[in-house]
Formats: sequence, C-alpha cells, structure tokens
Amino acid sequence: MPRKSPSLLSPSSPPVGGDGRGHDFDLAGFQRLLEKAGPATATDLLARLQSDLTAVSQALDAAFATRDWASLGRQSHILIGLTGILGAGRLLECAQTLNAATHAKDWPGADATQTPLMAQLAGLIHVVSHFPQPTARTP
Amino acid sequence: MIPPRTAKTPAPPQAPILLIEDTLSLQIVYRSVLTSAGHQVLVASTADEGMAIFRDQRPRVVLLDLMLPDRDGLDLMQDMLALHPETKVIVITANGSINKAVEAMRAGAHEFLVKPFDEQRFLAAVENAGQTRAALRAPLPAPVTPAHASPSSEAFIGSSEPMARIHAKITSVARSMATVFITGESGTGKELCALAVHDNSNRSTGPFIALNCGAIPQDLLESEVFGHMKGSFTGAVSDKPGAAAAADGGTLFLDEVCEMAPALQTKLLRFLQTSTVQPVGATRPRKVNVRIVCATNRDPLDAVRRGQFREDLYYRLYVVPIHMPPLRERGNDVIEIAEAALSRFALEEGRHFAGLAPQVRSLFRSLPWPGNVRQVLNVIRNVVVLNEGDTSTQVTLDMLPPDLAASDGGAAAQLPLSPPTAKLDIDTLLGLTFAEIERKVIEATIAHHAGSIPKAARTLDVSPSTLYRKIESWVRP
Repeated sequence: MPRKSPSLLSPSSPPVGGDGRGHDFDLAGFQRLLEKAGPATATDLLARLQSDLTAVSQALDAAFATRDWASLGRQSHILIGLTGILGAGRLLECAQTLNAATHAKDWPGADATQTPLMAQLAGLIHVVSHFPQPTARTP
Repeated sequence: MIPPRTAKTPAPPQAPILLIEDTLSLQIVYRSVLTSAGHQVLVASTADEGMAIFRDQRPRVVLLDLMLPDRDGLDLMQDMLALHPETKVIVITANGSINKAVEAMRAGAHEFLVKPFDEQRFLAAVENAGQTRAALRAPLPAPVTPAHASPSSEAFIGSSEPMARIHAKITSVARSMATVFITGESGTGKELCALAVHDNSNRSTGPFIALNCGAIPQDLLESEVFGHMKGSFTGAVSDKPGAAAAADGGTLFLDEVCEMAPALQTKLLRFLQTSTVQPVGATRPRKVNVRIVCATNRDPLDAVRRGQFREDLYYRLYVVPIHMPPLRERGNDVIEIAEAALSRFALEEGRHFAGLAPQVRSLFRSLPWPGNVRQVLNVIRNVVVLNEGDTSTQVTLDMLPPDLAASDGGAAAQLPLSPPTAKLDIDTLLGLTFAEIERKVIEATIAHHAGSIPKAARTLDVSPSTLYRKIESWVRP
C-alpha cells in the first residue's frame, strides 16, 4: 500500500491492515498524540513504534518456542505499553492475558494467547508501517 | 540622574523530571506529553544511565518503569531514595505485576501508574508528585530530622515493643504519599494512628479530615465524600464541598472503609486514579491533592474474597498496612494508658488520685480488654466520676465497676448503659423519637448478647466502633 502524505492525518481515512479490513485502533487518540508531539517527533515516533513492535513480535516468537517465561513477561509488558498508546484494545487484552499468565506460570493460559496475539500484532505492525507520515500544518 | 538599572529577576529554574523507560516509542510519548504540559524532561533508557543522570541533576520527580533491561527498577528506586529521600518516584508497571508496584510503594515510591497509558492519570500523578508547579521549581528541602519525625507521644501512650514498631513504621511512611491502610480491633487507636501519620507528614499544616464510612447512611455517603451542588437533589439547599475537597492539601481519613457501598467504591477508585472530584450535580471535575489513609476493623482481604470490597480498590489502598495490636498484646501499656487517663480525667472533673493500687495494676494486666484502649478509658472515666478521691487516694479494686473482674468478652459491662429491657415490645416504642428507639434497640441487643459489643454489632450489621460511638454520645451528649 502506498504511503499517503496529507498535510495532517485524516481521521476519515483510517489505515487498514494487510488483510484489507479496518483494525482495532484508536486513530483519533493516536493522532492527537502525534499532533502534540509535532511533525519531527511524530515521524520519529512512527518509526520507533514500527521498530519496537517488530522487535516484540520477534522476541515473542522465540519466547513461545522456548517457553522462556522471563522473555514472555518482559515482551508482554512492553506490548501492553505500546498497544495502550495506540488504543489497540483487543491486542491490549491479549497482551494483558499473556502477562498475567506469565506471572502465574500458567503455560496453557499463555499458549492460548499465542495465535490471536501474533496475528493481531502482525496486523498492527502493518497498520503502523503504512500510517501516513505527519507533516507540518501549513498556515 | 539616571536610576541604576535593576537586573530583571530570572525565573527560578524548573527542576527537571527524570523519565527512565527503555522502550523508545513509549519514551517519546511520555516525554512529549510532559513537555506539552510545561515540564522539563531528562530521559534515560537504562538503569545505569538513569542513575548517572539522577546523581548529576538531582531531579525532584522520577518516572520509573519497573522493568528495565539492565537492572530491577525496584532496586534502582531504593538506591535513589537512599541518596535523596525527598525524591518523588512514580513507578510504572503493567497489571500482571501489580504486586511489584505495591512492593515499590512499601519501599517508598510516591505513586504507581498501571499501563496502558492514560494521559490524564499520568499528568495528574506528576502534578501531585510536585504538589504545585512552584514546588517543582523549588530546591529540594533539607532532610527531615528524626526528632521531627517521631509521632506525638500524646497520640500513642505505651512503650511496649509492638507500639515501638508502630512508631517506627509511622515515621518511615509519613513523608511518602503512599496510602496507609490501618487495621485492628475496635478501640485500638486506628484514628490516632491516622492522625500521627498526618502530623508527621509534610502535609501536617494541611487539613486532616476524618470520615466514618460505617456511620453515614449509604445514600448520603457520596455527597459526604465528594460534595454536592445546590439543587442537585432534594435537600441540597446549598453547595457542599465534601470531605475529599475539604482535605485538599492534607489527609483524608476513611474509617471503616470496608463498609462503603460498591457503587461508591467505584467512585473512590476513580478519585484515587485521577485525583479529581466531581460533586453530585457538578458538570466539571475539580483537581485536589489529597493523601488517603483508611482503616477497618475487618480483614480487608476477606472482604475482597466475599465480593464486598473491590479487588482493584484493595490494591490501590492496601499499600502500606499498619496493624494496630490489641491491648492484650501490649504488655504493660495498659498501666501507662490507665495512669495517663486517670490524670487527664481527674483534671477534667476536678478530682485527685494518687495512681493505681498494686492490685488494680495486677488485675489490669490480667484482663483481656476486648474493647481495648476505649474500654480502659471508659473504666477510668467511671472511676473518676463515681469516686471523690484526694491526693493520697489510690484507685483500689472496690472503686472499679463491679463486674470488671468477671468480664471476659463483655466490653459493655463498664459502659453506662440503661438497665436492659428484658423484651422489647413494639408498643413500648410508640411515641418515642427515632434516636430513642435506636438507643433502646441497641441496648436490648447488647443485653441479649450478655454485654458483648462485637456480637451485638454483628447482629445489627454495624461495626463495633459505631456502637461504641453511639454509647459514648449517650454518656456525653
């Protein structure tokens, strides 16, 4: 999907995921954060978000494969923070469930989150990577 | 002559806030929100980096993610507080590790924030940590000396080891913003403990507002806590600020907090999270800066298990627990308390006594005192009122209420209740005021339980404290 370059992000055109469907994402809230940050910081934030989410995805893949509780706990903690600022409610719930399961060392509980969590995370990474680049508002 | 030009006084430098967060995108968001609100922010991504900046810049407020790549955030916080105890550390964590946040509060954290990020709560916590923007600009105060920090000796009489531990705990928690949760049997001095926390905090010049959640009808409690606007309901003839607003800049003491109705628990939780109050009928919330101290004579965790008390509110409130020991576990304190009360009451009543006779001391040490300190005070009051005394008169066994020695659980035996009515007939209540009917029912219930206040309280579904207060109000209207 080509990147858009509007002068300001438009709430009327929510980004869509790789599967073509709209994603669970608080566009208006996130846009307010970007505007508050200003164009330069907002651009940096989008890049960092993409990088942080991708890193979490890779680390979670490895942690699920090796049943690494410490890493699952740490990555779910990071993901709660990231999905919180993006307003990605369903993924946030998955991350919270995983985080609680890791604290309780509840492997079936953690395992049950893997498929939906990884799928939603992939969708969110896609959305963020295709998010319109913020530019300065013209007076 | 041209007057000398006076140099413009520069604005005092704003003390920066130190943000320690290793996830870069979260770091950007937090920093952006803080700078937009006018704060100067220093940022670190690791514990080592954070400690280096902390030593160099001495920030007044630190925002600390508890999960850092190179070190446990809790350990880092303790090192910071050891260097500069006045620092306000706000820890950030996720729901699953809420126990860690509670642990941090017990170790001296000022406040904790639970992810996901909520801008309003985030800024409210930072503002509260600095108290005012002016305070954020002010230099760090001189450390509080131990002499200033010890609780007032009048608040707690008793030199036993359990009370020494209570004193030490109050001293260590008083300067924190951490919520203090006081537990203990009726009559052990929970409110005095709350007052001691307030008096030893840096809010001691602010108000101390006490509210007994068990003594106020539930439908009035919201108005009592949060206030109301004129005309918001029948009987609201003028604006009322409410206890939370009245305690702004000081301490709000919520006694018998487990008696609070579930709907109000939700509002209390919201208040704790946002530090704002919205009076009944008001259109806008108002920000307040209040430290919460609460108390109960029940087991709060048991109330959570029974579904009577919200678990999330429990975790918010049960940060620094203080358990007031019952008098029977306080050794010789009962003598010190009785002697002090004897002097005070004798002065009030214009009488004189030369202390307690050895037999009385011995008896006092052996009694279980189910009504705790309040029961001792009632006994001594009884002695002073009913005996003339002079400077050479010691309080002897014959001056004590006759059934004191025989009392086991009968705390009411020493209380000046009306003779119990054998059986309350409804006809005997007709024509009495509501207060008179209430008194008769309470007295009959206590009599039915052979003088046991705790048992009567259970039957009436109120706390023992409520009954003790009622009885005291009958004695001294």
